[in-house]
Amino acid sequence: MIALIAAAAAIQSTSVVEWFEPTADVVSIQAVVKVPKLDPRNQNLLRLIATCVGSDTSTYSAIQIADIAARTGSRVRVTMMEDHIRVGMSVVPADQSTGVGMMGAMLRDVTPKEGQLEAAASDLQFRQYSYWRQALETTPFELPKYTQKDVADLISYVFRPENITLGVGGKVQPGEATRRWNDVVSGWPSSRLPQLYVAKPEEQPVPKVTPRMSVIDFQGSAFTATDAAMTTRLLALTALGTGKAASLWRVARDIQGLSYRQEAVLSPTQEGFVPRLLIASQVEEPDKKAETLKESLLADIKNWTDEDRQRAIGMASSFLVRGGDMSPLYLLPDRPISRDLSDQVFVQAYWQMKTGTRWNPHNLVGRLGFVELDDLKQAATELVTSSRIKIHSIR
Amino acid sequence: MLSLAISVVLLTQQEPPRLRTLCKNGAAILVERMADEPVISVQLWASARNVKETPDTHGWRHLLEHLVAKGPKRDIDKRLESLGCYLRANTYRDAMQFEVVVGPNQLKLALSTLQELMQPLKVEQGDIDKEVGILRQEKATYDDSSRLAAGAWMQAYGEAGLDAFGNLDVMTKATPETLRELHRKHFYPENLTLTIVGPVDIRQATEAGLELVGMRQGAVKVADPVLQPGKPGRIEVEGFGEGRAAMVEGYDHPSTIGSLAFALSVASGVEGAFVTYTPSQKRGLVIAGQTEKQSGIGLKIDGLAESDMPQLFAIGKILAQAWVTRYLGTVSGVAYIRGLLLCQNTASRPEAMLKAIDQLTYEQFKEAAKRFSKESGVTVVGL
Repeated sequence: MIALIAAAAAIQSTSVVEWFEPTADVVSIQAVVKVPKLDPRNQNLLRLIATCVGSDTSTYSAIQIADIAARTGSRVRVTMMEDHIRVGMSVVPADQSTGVGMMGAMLRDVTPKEGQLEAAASDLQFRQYSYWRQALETTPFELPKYTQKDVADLISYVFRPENITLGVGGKVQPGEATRRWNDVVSGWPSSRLPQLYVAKPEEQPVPKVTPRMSVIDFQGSAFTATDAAMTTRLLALTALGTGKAASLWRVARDIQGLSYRQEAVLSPTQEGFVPRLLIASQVEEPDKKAETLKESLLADIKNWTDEDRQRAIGMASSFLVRGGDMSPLYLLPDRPISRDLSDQVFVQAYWQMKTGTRWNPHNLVGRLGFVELDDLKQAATELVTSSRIKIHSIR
Repeated sequence: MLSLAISVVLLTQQEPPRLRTLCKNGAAILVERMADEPVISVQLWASARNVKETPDTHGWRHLLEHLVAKGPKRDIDKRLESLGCYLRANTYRDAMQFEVVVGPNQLKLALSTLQELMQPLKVEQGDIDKEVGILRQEKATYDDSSRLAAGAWMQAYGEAGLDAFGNLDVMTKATPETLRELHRKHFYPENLTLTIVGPVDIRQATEAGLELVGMRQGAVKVADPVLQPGKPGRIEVEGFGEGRAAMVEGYDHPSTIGSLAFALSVASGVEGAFVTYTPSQKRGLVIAGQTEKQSGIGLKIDGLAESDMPQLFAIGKILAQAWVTRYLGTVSGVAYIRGLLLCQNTASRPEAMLKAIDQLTYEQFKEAAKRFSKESGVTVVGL
């Protein structure tokens, strides 16, 4: 076992993104907690800890928090992806300031009791997600071994003001959320960045299961939002797998009859966004089918014309600015982001956390028009050629 | 054009900002203006009231939906998607639904697309066999909540509650002739409901809708068969998870609204739980279940005490209201919920559900909760 000494990273200032939506009748409060690069054991432990967010705090009880959210028919929802934890709830506009304070308390007072962690471990270990969610997970949960010190250190390491970006949107009082959050942060006790204990990875026995189906997963190399070729790569991914006239639909479904559901996916990870092509299929020897499919996709790309480029731009504008739900933007564990207020507030905060800039999909759509067909074909070819094929066996 | 439209209109009821039009040929059109939305949702609903499925035809409607959605020239998707638009299709127990989502100035494109789908079906046996293969793949991805729901319906209503997915073996027996006939019957005008929702001019959109469905030749309307009261019990199905279902009356009946509120309030306290209810004029099921774990919902329902009920009632009413209004917040949601109800009965509207939620009493809620008991409800367990 070795210990990891945390690097003294530059501390960012706290940030709040306010988003005024006058037609909304609620205020959505979405906190995005940046998850630093962690080893698998700490990543799994953090998943356990995250499930306890929303419990009693030193200022508010869990019942008080649940009650304020229930006034809008919502509740506190916590999801964790590889690079972030999302904590969200909606409140009535009159409760905005209290809601922001509660969010701060939930993130500041993460103190799970041992019984809670044990219950969370039991729950996560035996929870069986949908086939699609199983395939989407970049790091499937494995039960970690831990001590109370590990828990305390990890909480202190992750739940720090500088890691949190707060999104507050809907019928907001401009400036109020920022003022309230600043109050929360000013009362946040400062603490030294702890050293995290990093265990030597243990060989996990691979359980023998008879899969009822497989999901073929072409995983391309990650790119970041600031990557110069980001626009081209996003469009290439869309051309390959978003919509019913995309290459993937044409080849995997219409021609090969391999699949009913096949989609392009952009998964958020520590390294950036990983472009993926997922194909759900019940076939013998899916690995061999995947190789055949790869060759067929490459052949299909060669035949792309400007119609394919236009179609990809059309679909990208649909999911980026028109709220179309055929989208590769899987920033959530089991679905792409939607036009729902809470998702829109979340994506504002997430993008700010990830890039330091505001989410501006209209600008992105404008840039897509400048992508040339040859560049698009080259990016798509590279994505497929360099992709790592993974077969998810679905229980 | 306007005079022509008026001549086919039997009854027009304006309720700003929406217009419902009942055509002489039996078709119905609902246009709702949502001025600030970036897209228009146009949905064509083909009711199954004249074409009920039986065990011998179970799944033909679903197969037909797949084949129709391809379009006569098989190029609809490419044409639509190039313009940032798209087509979706679904099969329900009571209807097939085709939705075209287009931009603010593309209503004509949506309607011409739906016009193509209504053309007589051109299909060969090879197309059918190939599509059954795709449906076989779809069955492999059939989610556990749908498997549980199908089992609960079978327990409660037997052959009258056949699921919308269908039986793959039965599908293989479909022929071009049987599907052409099914298509013809489904698209009888009295089976058609068109909903147009988004940034549209209500009168112009109604006129355009009339050209699509109001001018088709009518036929004799057949009364929808009544679903007999269901049978409580326990059923095991292939899949993972468990659920409890209440047998309910029509969509705005206090027992239905109470059951929906109860199911939502119970499910809100169970991570990963789901509630299924498809608003229907007829009897049906409200199902509370979970598919990420094998137990929890049933235990929670059975373990509820009288003292838990006031809080569940308060939360349930809020959640039920949110459940309905969530549909009313998007163009696709409005077109869906209004189309689904309208294609069953021209007087049905989601506002009746909201009114019933508002008027739901604590006593009605407690009575509805009893419908989920082991004795009165349906218990469904995945194996």
